[in-house]
Amino acid sequence: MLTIDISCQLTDFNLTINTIINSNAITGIYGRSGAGKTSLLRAIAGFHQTTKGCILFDDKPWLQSSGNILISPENRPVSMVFQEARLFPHLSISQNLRYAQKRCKNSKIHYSNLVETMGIKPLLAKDINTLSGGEKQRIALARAILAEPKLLLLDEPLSALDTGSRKQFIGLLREIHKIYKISMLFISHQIAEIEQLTDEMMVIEHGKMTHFGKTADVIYALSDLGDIKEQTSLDLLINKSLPDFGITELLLFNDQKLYLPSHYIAEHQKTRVRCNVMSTDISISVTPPSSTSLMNVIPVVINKIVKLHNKAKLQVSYQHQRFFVTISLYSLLSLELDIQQQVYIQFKASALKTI
Amino acid sequence: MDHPDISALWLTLKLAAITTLILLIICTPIAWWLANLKSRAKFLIEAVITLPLVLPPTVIGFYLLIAFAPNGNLGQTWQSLTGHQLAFSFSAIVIGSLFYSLPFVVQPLQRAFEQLGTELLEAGAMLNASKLDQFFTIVLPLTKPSFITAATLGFAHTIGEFGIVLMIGGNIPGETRVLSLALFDHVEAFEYQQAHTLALSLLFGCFALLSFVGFINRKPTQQAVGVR
Repeated sequence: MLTIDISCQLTDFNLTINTIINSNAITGIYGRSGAGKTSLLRAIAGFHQTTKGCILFDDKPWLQSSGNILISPENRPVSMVFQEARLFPHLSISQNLRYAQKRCKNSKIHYSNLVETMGIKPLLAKDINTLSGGEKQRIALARAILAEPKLLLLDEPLSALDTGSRKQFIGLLREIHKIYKISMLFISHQIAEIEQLTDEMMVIEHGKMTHFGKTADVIYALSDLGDIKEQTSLDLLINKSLPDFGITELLLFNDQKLYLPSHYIAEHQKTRVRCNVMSTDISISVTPPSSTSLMNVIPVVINKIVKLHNKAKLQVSYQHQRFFVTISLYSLLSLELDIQQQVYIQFKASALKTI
Repeated sequence: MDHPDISALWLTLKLAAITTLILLIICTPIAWWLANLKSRAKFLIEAVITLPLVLPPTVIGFYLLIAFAPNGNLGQTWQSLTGHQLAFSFSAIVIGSLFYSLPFVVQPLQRAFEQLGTELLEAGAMLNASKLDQFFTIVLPLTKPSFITAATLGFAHTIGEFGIVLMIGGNIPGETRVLSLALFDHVEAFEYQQAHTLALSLLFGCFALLSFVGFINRKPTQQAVGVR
């Protein structure tokens, strides 16, 4: 468990965070650029010398201003993957990895197992200066894990990567978390990345924490506030592939079938897949749509209706899964939609995006 | 070349080698401190360290001579500790050389440390490397060309010393009579042939040393620049 109660003067504002983070989870830190996300991570790592307050990890103090305790960064069981890979340019790739392993007191992670898991074996023979951004970050992540930290800090490690590499890297992080049980704090200003990777998330604005909770709940709250583009996050079970049609059948709560194009699913996504659907991609029918090309149809109940100019923003739910739907004001009035009404939402298979 | 000149050559090399070694040891922490110093008074400290570059060597020599005098504090302390007089001794010219060549060693190191930045050191700290470990495994290998440059400049500059050595060392053969003083003696005695030999030896020796270091440093320096 990571207990943070700190205050730290930054250039434009004061970073003040008071929270407790579950150490078994991957926790996302979301916020706009300059909100104080990186400063928080650097304070946890011990790089912000001026930080006051208290940081405890599993009840061990890393910082306790009242008792004059300040553990230096190298003595905290923490490792960090930065925005840039920060590989040592005078060492080869394997020397970079061994650098971490040599300084690890109780080496439990097997070097070759990790190299295998992370798929970096073909990279080991390469010249460090010829690696792509994605490859460098994979080596930096492997190096950080070989240090066997109890807490891994990830400071926007995907910012320099292309979309394909990002998805691959996120899959890798989930795999690493599953195998090595390392707690992770992951910074991003891309909500999709946070949504795909994290179990819990916090939102930071001007150095203050504004939200903290389960990722889906916080994203729902942000969508509700209009802080992010309205979208619905879904954690779905992969049921079966229909190769003749190039689509895959998914299950929501083990009974509601949903479909998406099979090529949306990455190789590492074997049993579950996280998806989202934009509110503007969903339409509403008051009767069960019997003859429609739209493959995803879900019976829902309307919970909330907000009229905004010529649009209507609806919140509907299927069991405890909530959906955002945006329709025109004209449709709202002509269909005579109302709170607690049972309707059907529908969207194309291609509107269900994996994240 | 006669025997006194050989003795002056060895003395000069010994002086330059000892001075360079001591300078590398004391200038590394000074340069590190300056590279990371955030104080507004940094420019004043840098000015003090750079002073020997612009001051006439005789100014430094004059004040050191007063400090080293047997009735001066430093001179008295030295005498009570070693039993020998400090002024006009080999130790005196070593101390004088340290002051005289200090900026030539501090500056290249400071620039290298500033250019290296803190990013890779933070990466090292996150891999459990202690400060000393970071210095020997990250800083030193990546700034090696600057250490070679600093050592060369310190060594070559000490070889060319004249004013300070003359003031605080006198011109004692085998003790404080370095090459530049021997050359001066030859000129004063109209021994132009010997003066030529010494002057050309110094000229080509220093040129060869600088060229050699420049050659060694050429590629690694380019690599070090690309670090960040």
